[in-house]
Amino acid sequence: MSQFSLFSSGIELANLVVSSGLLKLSWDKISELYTELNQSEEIRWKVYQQPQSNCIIVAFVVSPNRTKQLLEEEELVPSSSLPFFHFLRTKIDSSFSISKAAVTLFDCVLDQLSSFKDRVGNSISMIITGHCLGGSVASLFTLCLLKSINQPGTKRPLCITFGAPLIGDKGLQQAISQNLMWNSDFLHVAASQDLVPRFFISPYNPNAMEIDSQIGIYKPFGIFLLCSKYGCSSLEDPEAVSEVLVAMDLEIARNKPPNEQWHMFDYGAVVKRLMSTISFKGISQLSEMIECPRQAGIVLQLQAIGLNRRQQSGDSNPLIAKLEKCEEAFVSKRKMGFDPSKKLNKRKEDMAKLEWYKKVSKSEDKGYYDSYKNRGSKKDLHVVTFKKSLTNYWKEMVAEVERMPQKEEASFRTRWLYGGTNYRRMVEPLDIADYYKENGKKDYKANGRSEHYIKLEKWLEEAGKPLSSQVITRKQNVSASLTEDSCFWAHVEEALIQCELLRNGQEEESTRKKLIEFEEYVMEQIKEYAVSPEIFLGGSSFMQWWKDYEQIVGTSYKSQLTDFMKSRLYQQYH
Amino acid sequence: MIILRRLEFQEQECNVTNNQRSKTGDSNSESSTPKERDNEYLKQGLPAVEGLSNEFTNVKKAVRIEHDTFINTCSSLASRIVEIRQLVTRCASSEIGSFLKEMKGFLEDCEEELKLVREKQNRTMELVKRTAEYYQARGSKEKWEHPLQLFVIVKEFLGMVDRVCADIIVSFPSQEMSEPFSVLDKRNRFTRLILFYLRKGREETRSETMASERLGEVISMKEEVIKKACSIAMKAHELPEKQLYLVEKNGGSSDVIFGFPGSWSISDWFSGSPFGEKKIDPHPPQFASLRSIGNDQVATVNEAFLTRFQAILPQLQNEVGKAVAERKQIVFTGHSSAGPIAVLMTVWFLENLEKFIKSDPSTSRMPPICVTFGSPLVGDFIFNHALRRESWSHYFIHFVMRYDIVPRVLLAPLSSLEPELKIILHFLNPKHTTPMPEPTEEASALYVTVMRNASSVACHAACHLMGNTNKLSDTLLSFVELSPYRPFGTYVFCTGDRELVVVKNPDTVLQILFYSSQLSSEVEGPEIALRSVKDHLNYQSDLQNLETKGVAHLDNLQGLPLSSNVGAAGLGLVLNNLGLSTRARLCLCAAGELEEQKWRNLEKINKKKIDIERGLLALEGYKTRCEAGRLSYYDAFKLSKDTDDFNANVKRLELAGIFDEIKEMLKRYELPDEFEGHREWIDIGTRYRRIAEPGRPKRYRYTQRWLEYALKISAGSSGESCFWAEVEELCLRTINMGLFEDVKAHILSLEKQVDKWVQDRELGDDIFFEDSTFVKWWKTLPQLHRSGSCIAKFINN
Repeated sequence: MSQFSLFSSGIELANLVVSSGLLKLSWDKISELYTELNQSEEIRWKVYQQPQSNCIIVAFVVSPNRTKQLLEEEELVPSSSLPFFHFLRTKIDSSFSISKAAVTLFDCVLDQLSSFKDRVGNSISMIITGHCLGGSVASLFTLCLLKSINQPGTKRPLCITFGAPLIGDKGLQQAISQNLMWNSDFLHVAASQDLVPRFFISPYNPNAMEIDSQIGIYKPFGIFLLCSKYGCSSLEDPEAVSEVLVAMDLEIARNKPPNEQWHMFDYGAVVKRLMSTISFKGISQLSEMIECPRQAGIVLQLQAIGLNRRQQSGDSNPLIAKLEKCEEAFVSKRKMGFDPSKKLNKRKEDMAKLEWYKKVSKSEDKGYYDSYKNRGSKKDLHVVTFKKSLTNYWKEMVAEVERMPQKEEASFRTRWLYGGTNYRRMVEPLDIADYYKENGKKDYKANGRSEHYIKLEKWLEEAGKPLSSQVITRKQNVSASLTEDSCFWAHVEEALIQCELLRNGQEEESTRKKLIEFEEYVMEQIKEYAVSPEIFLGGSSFMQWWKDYEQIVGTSYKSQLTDFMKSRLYQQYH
Repeated sequence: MIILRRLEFQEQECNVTNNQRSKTGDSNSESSTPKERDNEYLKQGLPAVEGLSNEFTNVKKAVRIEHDTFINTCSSLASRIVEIRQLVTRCASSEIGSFLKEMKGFLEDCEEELKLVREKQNRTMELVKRTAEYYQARGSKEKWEHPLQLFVIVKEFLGMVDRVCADIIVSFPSQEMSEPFSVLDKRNRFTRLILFYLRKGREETRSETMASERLGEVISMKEEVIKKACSIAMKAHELPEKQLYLVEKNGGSSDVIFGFPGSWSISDWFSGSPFGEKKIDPHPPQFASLRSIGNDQVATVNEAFLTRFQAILPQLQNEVGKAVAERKQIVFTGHSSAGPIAVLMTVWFLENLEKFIKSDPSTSRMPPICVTFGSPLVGDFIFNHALRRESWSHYFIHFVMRYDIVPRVLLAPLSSLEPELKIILHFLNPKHTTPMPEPTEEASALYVTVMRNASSVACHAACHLMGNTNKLSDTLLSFVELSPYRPFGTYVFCTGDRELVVVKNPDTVLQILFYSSQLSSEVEGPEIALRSVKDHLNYQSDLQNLETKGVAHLDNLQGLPLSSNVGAAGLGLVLNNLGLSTRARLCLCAAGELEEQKWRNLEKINKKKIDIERGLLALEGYKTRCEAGRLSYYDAFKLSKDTDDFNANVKRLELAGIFDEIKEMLKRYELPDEFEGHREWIDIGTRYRRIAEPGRPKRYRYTQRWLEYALKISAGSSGESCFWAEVEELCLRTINMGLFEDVKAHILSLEKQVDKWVQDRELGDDIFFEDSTFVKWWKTLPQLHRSGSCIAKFINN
């Protein structure tokens, strides 16, 4: 709906989170866990069962000393040495990096967590929470859980971190924000007075001066709940989050002595204050007349997180204008997102038209492949248009699937497999016809085949179960069905070329061998009832080949296929 | 608008003649009885109003003109002429023949004619534009898209007038005229209805005029009735334990008011589930309307209130029946927990209005009115959706004091507030005798809890209103449960400052319920908390001087002033009085925008009606052609031999696309609630379902449910369009297994249904054609069975 771009709902979402009471619930567990932390312990985690509900809370805390130590290093570990997170990789961008601090701590508890994960499964709602670096570990553990969530309807976990530093680079950000559901499973609470959340992004970080510093490589993901003593707001667009974190840093740096000692920030007081402000009205006056609801929303948001206290509008405050742009871009990107179900009916129409074309061509004793190849009439030209829209649709679809992380991709593509296979079997022969029409072109499979056909075919193989059922039912329907191997006609064209070569007396040995291979291939297909009887129509390229071939091999040659053809058994093939 | 003015004028005229008549009647003393006079009025009035519709037939025709095509026709014709001319000149260079001469002459004629048409068009449009400008309310912000929209508005109004006239004629058989009382009553009703629509029409075109009207006018209800209802609602609390309701009827008055006592025991507010909610039991269908039709979801209501309603209903039924027979305006009212009882009574009455009329056609068709004061919420969003679909929601008026906690209390779960609520309810009970100290602490605790939960509900709703696509708000719901209750009907907020704010958009009401009781400072806390309890008992005193109060509507939500320091008058003042912050105002804007968006969606869908119509006609034509070839269209389609079959298939897919789109919108509640009540769409849906149902995707189920609901028949009984699916199914079973006995019961029931469908003309004769799949299959059945079959008569003919 078009109101998407009219409003900015960050404050509402933030207040929903606060009034739901989940922040308080999570923080209470964290502070309880801190009291149990031993002096010698690096990291501690514990599972809390909620009374009277099917919900558990998993909390992580890291000892303050260790935290201080680890925060000094901002090194990143590349995904190539993180086999455990390989499932996050997409086909397009396959590399990402995660902060070494987080990975080191996560490795300490990995074994325990794995067995816990296997025990619990996805049947209960789970909140994973942690403070500071404990939050980083909580994020990594949540990622592991997402790996095993596939089916819609399973309980989604919710990760709530308090004052956690950023943990990954742009690659990780993209891997997670690719999927809307994944991205909204992470809620990072960051107070404006707490340095840690913006530690790795702050231009004031002393490490930032060093040449090999990796500051600035870190990127946020998930939803950020930013709070100050004035209120709170949420941000989802990673670009906007980066902007605001930096702006917060500048604002605080202005008001504080630069060399203040770092300490663990207590979120208990923050949460309590946020809860108590629910019943307060907040401001109702804007110093400047702002008529655009979205701009007003952003002004309110900035005020809530302690920036822009002077209530400037977009003209005088560049941050507002920037955020507005971010929001716009973010929303329109989401709106433009490819929704395969949207145009599905239109594509069904195209398929129906093609089917009709096939039928008409058959009645002309030619088969739609050859009819299209020869372009003898107007209707053949028509086909070009709807072939094009179908191809575009499926190309886009395949590209979309490629962008998804592997885990999500699998379930998505099985849903569309049936339509995709039908499309491939129907349309690819036409592409083959186009390819061989240009004189002299050879070897379609190696040179001419579009990537998306290859992918679609591979999915079908990977899906394991053959789409068309048993040979018997196939036999019943063979007259109406499509040739299963969408490259059948490419084989035929190659065979035709080989016949031509033989007639010109070239490359005797290998060519003959290829033709015999083709013979066997065709016979195999016929036995399986995997080809459409259309290939035996008088005007078909296949019959053309047979005439050529019959001449070349002469009457004495005998094989299964020649028997089949000579005895005209094919007339009963339907 | 023209008609509005005309009608007003006619009314005046009528009044004048009436006065004159009565004067002459006086002077001629007994020459005309009151009965005759009334007849006279009606005879004069009705045809005049009815005539309006005929007079404006051209307007109705004009509505069908599409503005853009109309404007562009001339220029496109002109450009075509230029094209032809170019062609002609090109031809002219090569050869000269009589064809060219002829053509040139024709072209000249064309150009001449086109010039004339253009002139006329310009003149007409000028006129239309001026008329539109004149009637467009002065200073109105919302401009019409184009001047032709005037016709649409006029047509809609004419439709209303027609409906009123039809209503009157139906409920006014001429023999009855002898009874003076009924005539008088009807005439009153007639003028009232006309006035109601006049007002409605006015309301639609009004821009920002406000604060100048009286409440009674805005909600079309008399102030005295509201005041009387309030006093009865309060008096009902004093009733002795066993008496479950209070009736107030004055011989002279045309209203009968039913008031109910509230309950102050917590078990009468919450029961069982966390929020005391319960899905309405579809069997027996006491509240058949309270559901979402296509989505097939039933409404949820508060169980404790429902139970109380059911305890009271049997005692009340007769009394209500009597009042209906006496043609009284029925008013249900209740304060506090009695509010929901009044609401449920009203819904029950509306559900049964048809029945009342059927059993006694002379009963009044007048819908009931429901007035509640400080009532807690009753039902969920489907409850609201259903009432709006039935166009019932404007019969419900809820008065809410700005800080009253009770209307908000059901937004919190029982577990969070039980001990405090117990004490507060005890404090509020008018029957409690021992004096009790003010429950300051409990009030504060209750206030904080309720506000926290109200905030969750309001923010969750606001995320949706603002079009937030974030899944976090949904993920949260698996950890915390939110109250299912939502407001419905018309809300009147009493701000305490001599002002009433009328709100009709339920999304807006929900936001106001939360935001208007927010505090401006911490100091205010305890005071407001106590006030939130005490205000619950202040309705009667606040509404004492109802007539002097200013009234503001909060319906035109776009362009609200977002800051409290602008627009200290008008809308700005209203928002300030409700204490709405900028954040709150943004939520209201979003609510207005969402509603607007729903209407835009509807418009989009309505524009597709032509495509659907065309598609249906094509398919129906296809069916006829098939029948002419003695082949049922189902079989023809299955064989798919000709281009005709192919075209039918493409049309079918086109239609499927459109209906899928509608289905998706309904699923997400993106169309106005009224959509599924539109008769026109039900008809289109049914036609579509019958002609194009080979398989059974969801879209058919939606349209089937529309029809079943509209005809008030049981679910699943109008499955005639699945006929072929059943036949194919049975074919397979009889062929594959061969055992007739196994499927006999199934076959018999199908035959029986076919018999009924054919007699009701829901299935065409084409299924009995010689070559139809159905007949072929039927003939394979055992002779013994066939001879005794109830459909043998069709096939053997």
